[in-house]
Amino acid sequence: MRINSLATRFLAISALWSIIALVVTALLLTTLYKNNAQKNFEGLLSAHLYNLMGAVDRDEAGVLVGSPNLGDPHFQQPFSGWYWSVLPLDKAVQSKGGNHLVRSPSMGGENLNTPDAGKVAFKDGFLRTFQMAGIQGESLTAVEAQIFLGEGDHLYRFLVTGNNAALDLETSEFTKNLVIFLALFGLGMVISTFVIIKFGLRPLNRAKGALNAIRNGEAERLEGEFPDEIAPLISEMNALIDANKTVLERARTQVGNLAHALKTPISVLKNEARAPGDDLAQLVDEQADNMQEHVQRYLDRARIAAQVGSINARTPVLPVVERMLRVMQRLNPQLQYEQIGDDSGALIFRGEQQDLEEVLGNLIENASRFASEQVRISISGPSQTDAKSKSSMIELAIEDDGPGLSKSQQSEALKRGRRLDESKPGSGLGLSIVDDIVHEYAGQVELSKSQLGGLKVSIYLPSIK
Amino acid sequence: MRILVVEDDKDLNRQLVEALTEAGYVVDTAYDGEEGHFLGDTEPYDAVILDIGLPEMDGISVLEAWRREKRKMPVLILTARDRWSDKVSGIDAGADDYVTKPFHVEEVLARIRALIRRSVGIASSEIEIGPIRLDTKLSRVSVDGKNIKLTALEFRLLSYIMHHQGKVVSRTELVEHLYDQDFDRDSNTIEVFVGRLRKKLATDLIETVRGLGYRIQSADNAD
Repeated sequence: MRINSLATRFLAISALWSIIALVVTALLLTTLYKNNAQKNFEGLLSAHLYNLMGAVDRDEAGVLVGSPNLGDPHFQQPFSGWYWSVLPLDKAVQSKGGNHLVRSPSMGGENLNTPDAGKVAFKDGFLRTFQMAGIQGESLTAVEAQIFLGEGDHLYRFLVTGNNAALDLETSEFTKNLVIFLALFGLGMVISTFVIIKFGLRPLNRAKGALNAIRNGEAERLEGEFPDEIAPLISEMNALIDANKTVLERARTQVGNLAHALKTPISVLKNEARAPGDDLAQLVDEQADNMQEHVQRYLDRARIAAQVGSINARTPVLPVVERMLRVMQRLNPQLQYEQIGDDSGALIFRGEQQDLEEVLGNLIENASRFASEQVRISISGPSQTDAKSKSSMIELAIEDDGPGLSKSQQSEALKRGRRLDESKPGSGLGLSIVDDIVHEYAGQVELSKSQLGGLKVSIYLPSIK
Repeated sequence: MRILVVEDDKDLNRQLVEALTEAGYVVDTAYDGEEGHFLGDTEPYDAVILDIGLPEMDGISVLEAWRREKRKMPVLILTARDRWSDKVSGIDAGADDYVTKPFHVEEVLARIRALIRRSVGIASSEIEIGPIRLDTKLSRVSVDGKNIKLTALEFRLLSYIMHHQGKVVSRTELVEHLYDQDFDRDSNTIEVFVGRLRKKLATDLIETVRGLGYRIQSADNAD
């Protein structure tokens, strides 16, 4: 499996290491503890053994005497695993047995089979410690000593055993606690690693968010402060983005220049091909029209593409309106242009000045073409009372006192490339270009009848407060 | 009526000149901005057709320079850029109208006619003074409804005087506006042409103002 996330990578490595470290620690600690406990256990048994050896002796008749009291009640309980026994190694002596001192009550008269001295040797010929199975198969730790009692040559073996269950209980208790503690510790480590990674990698997430914003067209560069480790990467990215933009803009400019440069030869061809009834002329004219269409399509595309980068644009509305009106007055000195509404200059259009000029230019030109005397443009800001989507929109309305449009013509007018009145000069594309641009800004175009008698075109464009 | 065409494309320039000449205008041409600027600055034109994309000096700069130097002739700009932001910068620089490429020369002719009329304050494309009727669109003249055949120069002469009706037009002014820059000018020939024109029109509406020039009564006073 490939691990692509840095966070997962860190987390996996740290978890793996934690597990290994904790398991090793657990093994080490339990082993040490177990050894220690075993040693203590054997020490206890040895103490019992010395106690036993001190309390038992052999009289002259060869009978064992004394009153061994090892204190621990376990030696009284039958088959508890806690046993003691004193046995002569000499079979002849043994046969004289039957003495109550030979075995602990817990043995219930049974025998324990200790291993031969050949298998487990007596240390210094005196003491040995070993593991063995008890009367009922219980696991026992045994301490055995052999000493001479009485007149000297009668060797006796003193045996004390303890039940390993006590030892196991103790160590398992310890192991359980240890595992719980270490597991909690490990979990804590993983959680803290996770938090560290999350916190430590947060700048990367921010960088991701910033890149996303660029892709969605909400930002033009990677914005914000980044830590020293990735700051060079971020500035390289910004440089790359800038370089990209430059290349793109250059390409776009060249497309524009090429397209515009082609318009002159197209003009020449179209003018040259004005001979009526001539097949060649007609062909040239048609092909020139074709070329013109291609050129226009690419220019439109370049225009729309250029708009994507324009999210930070802000255009004061009033100066553009005034400029357009000044231009229109110059183009159409016979008409009266009137501007009403908000003239505080406070309205800001959230978009490119070129686009606002394009929209107003087309609309006012249309109005001027059809007006008989008067064109009126009104500006109104976002209204407080309107709770609908138009509430943050600037409304611009262009009216004329011309013939106007019927209801069906109005709905027809916004369709692409439709030209309502072929007799008037102009491309007829004005309204659909307007519609395109306004919609790119999520605005609206509405047609209605003007109080002046002609058409009223209202457009709604986003504003910046 | 004398017109300057500033367009660097040789073919388009020729087409415009041909169409304008055919319509009865006297035409000077320039193929780059500097030459165009010089001509517009020194010669009296009734209108200028100015391309925006010119070598040496771009159209907008030429236009701005003219306006700075108080040259007020109407200017029609030809531009390949059809965005309003481009048109607006042209008009803000002092253009009176614009035509976007590609265009048919007829459209340029129509705009030029309108610009010239507008510059002298005449609203209609047909100018009527007394029995004389001048159709600027079709370059035709009629007296009392009868078509009169005029030579190109005679038509230009009548057209200029009628466009400037009510004003005294000097011979020098006429020479400047009726001939292109290469013509060997002699203001005495004007007298001959005015005489022929009077004869053809069979009216005495064109009066001689001694020592100053010629005048035709404005339409309101003619009857």
